[in-house]
Amino acid sequence: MIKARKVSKTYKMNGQDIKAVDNVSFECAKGEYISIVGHSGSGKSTLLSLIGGLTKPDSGDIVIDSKNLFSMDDNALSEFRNKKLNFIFQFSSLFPTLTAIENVMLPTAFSSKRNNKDAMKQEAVRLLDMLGLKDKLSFYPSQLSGGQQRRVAIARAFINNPEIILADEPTGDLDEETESEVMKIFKRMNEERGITFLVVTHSSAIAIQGKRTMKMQGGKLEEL
Amino acid sequence: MRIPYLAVKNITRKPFRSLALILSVALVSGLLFAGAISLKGVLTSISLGAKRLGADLMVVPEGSEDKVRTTLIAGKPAPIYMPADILDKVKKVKGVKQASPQLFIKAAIYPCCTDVDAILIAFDPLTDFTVSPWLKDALDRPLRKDEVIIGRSIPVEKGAEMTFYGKALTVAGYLSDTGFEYIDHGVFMTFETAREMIRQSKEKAKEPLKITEDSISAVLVQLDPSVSPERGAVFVEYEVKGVKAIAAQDVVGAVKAQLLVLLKILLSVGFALWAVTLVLITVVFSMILNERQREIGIIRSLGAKKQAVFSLITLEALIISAIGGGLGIGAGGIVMYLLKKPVMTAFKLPYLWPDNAFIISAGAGTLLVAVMTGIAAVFYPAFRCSRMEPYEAIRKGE
Repeated sequence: MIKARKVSKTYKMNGQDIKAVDNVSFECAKGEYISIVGHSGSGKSTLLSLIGGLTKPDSGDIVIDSKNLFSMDDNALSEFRNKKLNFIFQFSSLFPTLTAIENVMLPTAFSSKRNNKDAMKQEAVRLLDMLGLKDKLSFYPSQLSGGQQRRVAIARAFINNPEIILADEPTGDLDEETESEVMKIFKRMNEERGITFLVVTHSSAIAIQGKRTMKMQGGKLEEL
Repeated sequence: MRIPYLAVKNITRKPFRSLALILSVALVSGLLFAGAISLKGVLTSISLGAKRLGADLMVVPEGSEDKVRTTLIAGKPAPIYMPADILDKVKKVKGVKQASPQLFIKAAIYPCCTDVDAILIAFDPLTDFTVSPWLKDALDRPLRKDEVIIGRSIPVEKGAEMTFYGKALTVAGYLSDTGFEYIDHGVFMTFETAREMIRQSKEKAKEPLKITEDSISAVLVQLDPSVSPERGAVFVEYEVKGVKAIAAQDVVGAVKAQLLVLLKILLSVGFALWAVTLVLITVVFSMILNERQREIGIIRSLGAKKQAVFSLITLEALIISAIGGGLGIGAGGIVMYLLKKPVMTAFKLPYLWPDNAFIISAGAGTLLVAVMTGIAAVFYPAFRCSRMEPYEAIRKGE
């Protein structure tokens, strides 16, 4: 389902070329759960961004469901992102002026199809309930702890029923108990709904959740 | 959830910054709107005044031209007098079709209720062609002795009595609103009434009038259509010694010159403020968008298209400028309505409050300018932001 073929990406930093992703090729079947480990700066986040079509590679292709991401125009790619995949970032990605439930429903604002507002709201409540935040629906991010904010971002990632979740250090600032709950949710979503997970982490405890584990080092990806 | 909701939420994020932007737009819009209704008011007043003044020439004592202009425009009665036989001399001048005398008498205050200056004017109803056209409700009979017709700025009911210099006068009718102080603050009476008031003032008034029986202040002249006002003025001044013939166009010209000064001030201040506001909005929005780069990257990762990002940013600017524009129009209108009199008096300009159709179209035009200013100011920052690669936006925003 996801095919990366000889993908490379170089950044310029302080006048120097940094090869973040170096000739990476891999395949990921539908419904797989892959963990990607590696030190910080090894190119994990860049690889996820490339797979999600957030940045263009210098060379190579990424094909998802037979569609080459980088041959699509911006509108098609944005719509593809909105329908097919979603991100969980390693930083706080909530909007401070929106409540928890509004943040969860945010992707629906950019959907080309007319969503049933009530149905979306029910789904958002269900997701927040699943993540233990039912009593925080109308709380603003500033009224939530770091862990609670992360759980809202996770709920948001599932609102559009994506087929792929690209998670970059999804449990970075969660306590052990919440981290374990989140990983259980990921596993359940993977098993019950067949959602494909690509999870970047440097925690081996999280990495072992994956059915496959890959390691990123110096921009190269290798199977473990 | 829709993009307009997000735009409103973003505006409320930094209320003081948004308020500052709204106020700056309001200031420019207010100035523009106030300027538009001021200019329209003055122009309407001038054109109406020139049209309905009726006279092609106003013949006054030589050397009193400036005082007469002050009387006509600012409504400050000028004590200018000349012998009544000037009227007969003027009537005989080549090209003069009709001539009617007037006598200006200063009245310190309205005796009823206000301390605004009034100007008492004696006219001859039989030969008059300047006051009668202003009558709001035409009298179905000649104006009688001890009766007056008053301008719209004098707050006295028809049929009420007013006393000037010890003489009781009955209000027989009103004139329409003209914007010319001379008419709007005028108390018009027959020469017979005025002469009697002058006589009686020696016994009844605290400050008796020192105007001789055979005095007049001006002769209003209508020329044959074949004679231009300029030529007519030359004829009058040549034939009748000791007078100055002022063409109505000269009065309008003086007003226009005043108007030009006001217009230049308004345009300069308005343009400078508009430029500052445009730059301010551009700079502030560039700052806002720099702060929000990561957010923009995130909404792009959630599936927002470039045009959605562009719409979101321009919508924020549109809402801010529309609110600012609306506030400015409201405030400008109220301020102008309340201050029109002192401002116009200070600039010695006649003024007529424009009709509702003009106010609505000026308001709509001002609002459009405000909104377009907002959109123009954010166009480039919004375009730049919407074109940014999502991952680059996220990284730069870190």
